[in-house]
Amino acid sequence: MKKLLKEGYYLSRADRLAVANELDTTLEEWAMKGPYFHMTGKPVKAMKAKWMGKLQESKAMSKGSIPANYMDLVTEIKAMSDFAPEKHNGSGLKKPKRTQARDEKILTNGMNIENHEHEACVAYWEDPEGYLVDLLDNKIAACKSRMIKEWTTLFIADPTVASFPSDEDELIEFIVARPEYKNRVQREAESLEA
Amino acid sequence: MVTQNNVNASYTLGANRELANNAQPAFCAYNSSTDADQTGNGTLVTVDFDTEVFDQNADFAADTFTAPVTGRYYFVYQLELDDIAAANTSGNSFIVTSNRTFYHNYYDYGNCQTAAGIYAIQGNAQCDMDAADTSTIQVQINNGGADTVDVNGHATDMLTFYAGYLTV
Repeated sequence: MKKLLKEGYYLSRADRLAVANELDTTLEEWAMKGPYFHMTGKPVKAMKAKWMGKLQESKAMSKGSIPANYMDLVTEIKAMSDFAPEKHNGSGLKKPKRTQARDEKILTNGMNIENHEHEACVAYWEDPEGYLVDLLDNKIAACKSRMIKEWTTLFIADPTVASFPSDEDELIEFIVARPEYKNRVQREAESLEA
Repeated sequence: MVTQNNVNASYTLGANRELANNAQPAFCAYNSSTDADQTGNGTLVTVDFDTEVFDQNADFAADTFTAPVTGRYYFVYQLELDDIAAANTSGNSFIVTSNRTFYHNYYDYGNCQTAAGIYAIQGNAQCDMDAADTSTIQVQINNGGADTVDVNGHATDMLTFYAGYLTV
């Protein structure tokens, strides 16, 4: 068993508020779904899809057999003479703008990953640790961006709002301080009651 | 890079200039055997799609599509439900994405089903997803008194299926 993100990941209060505005889970719960699959299942599946045919071809020529477990299969694929790592990266992912301190630690025990998944992961991603951080950063940036876009439109249309903060984190605090503000869980609970 | 008739390239330009992208996220999966007594009395169930027809960017596993990049994704599904009773007067099916849930509401299932108690639900949506967001299909049939509604599956026939692709 290997571990990614051993040092965990740090959130600011505004990060957490923006995520809660959009997700009905915590960022940590979100990370253990899609990002976990990106680190574990996807590289193994992609490697098998790309190299299985060639492995079968070469094994057929040497009258060899194909291992029926992922650990040995990944090892065999990586040992092929023409195997080349993919080295995908997170280019295009966004970074959140932050002015608040990042004082809340999540994923405190990191993300566990099986050995064969790690073998595939390091062959698929250029920098698995960096990519995982990029995914978390990107999700926060996207949540902040949509929250701000939605509310600044409302503020501009509202004659009772004279101005709003330009700093993103301050603006998020300004939004959640509004009496009518509700995060996603609160909105959905209200919708169910109705 | 576009190379004519080169299947190893991401793009394949056919002899008659058909352009195919074999790295574009696109998947299709179906339920290969019936899952009995899944819902009917309000139980919300994530639908099982255990067999892949294709998954050309390795983004689908365990009934879940995971977006490889931020973008807009189009999803379509059909659920063939069985053993629906007259008492099953309402229900919903859902495309559940990380950012939001798309509802497909149905009413009076009990009067819509065939004599054999079968009713097929279809739904679709264009969904905004961030990189590593997930998407699943859920269904919930109500008022039956017990969870007796099956989600049909078949080894070869696509009775209950889920497909999607990155549009932009």
